[in-house]
Amino acid sequence: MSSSISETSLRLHGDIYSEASVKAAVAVFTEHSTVRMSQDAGYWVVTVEDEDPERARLVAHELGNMALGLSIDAGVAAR
Amino acid sequence: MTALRGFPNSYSLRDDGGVDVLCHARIYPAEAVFSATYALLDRSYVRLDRDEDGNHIVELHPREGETLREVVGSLTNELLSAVCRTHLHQRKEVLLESVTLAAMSGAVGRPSLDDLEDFDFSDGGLDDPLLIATSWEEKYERSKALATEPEPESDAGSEPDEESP
Repeated sequence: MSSSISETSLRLHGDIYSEASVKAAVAVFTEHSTVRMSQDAGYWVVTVEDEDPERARLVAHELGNMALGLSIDAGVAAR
Repeated sequence: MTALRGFPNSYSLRDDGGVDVLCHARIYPAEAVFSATYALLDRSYVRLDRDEDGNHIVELHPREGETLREVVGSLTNELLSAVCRTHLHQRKEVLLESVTLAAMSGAVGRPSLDDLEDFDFSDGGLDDPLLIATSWEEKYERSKALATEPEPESDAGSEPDEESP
């Protein structure tokens, strides 16, 4: 019996979310799910994979919150 | 897109159960949007985006135990509060700068002898025709000098004093 992997993507604007903040958030949540980060047309694209779709969605949400908080703390978002 | 009932048209429901709030850049400066969303991070999941006109779009999903309407209402209040604070800060910025500058210039220390030597003490720097800012001694000396001076002749054709008897 094969288990399906659920995937949730998060597109974070490059002018609002700093690279360091997104990377820091990805590093934290890699422990909970499989997280990949890439770049596409001025956006950071974070993909979260998990066997549980609800868990993938939750990790993506928490990751987005952490990245936004860190970006605002760092003052990058105020540019 | 479906508008959120009881809220302006710039609030639209998403298919995934969240809501998108369009924050016009002319009304809500970036600092206000960041401040308002930061305050809601513990009650909701927030994603910020920016459209081609520079307007911010706040994507909001309530956390467990929170309702969408409560979170959206809180965001609206936080946005309004943040905008007011931003405007007040801009108005007070000049005052803050002048006070800071005065404090910093005071911290520089006393002027050196060279600074005092170069300083122009002769410059009154104040037009004071009513002698309000004049010291008592100066005013008294001046009034005494005026009293001892002979009164000018009212006749325009008269000769100077030295020729009068």
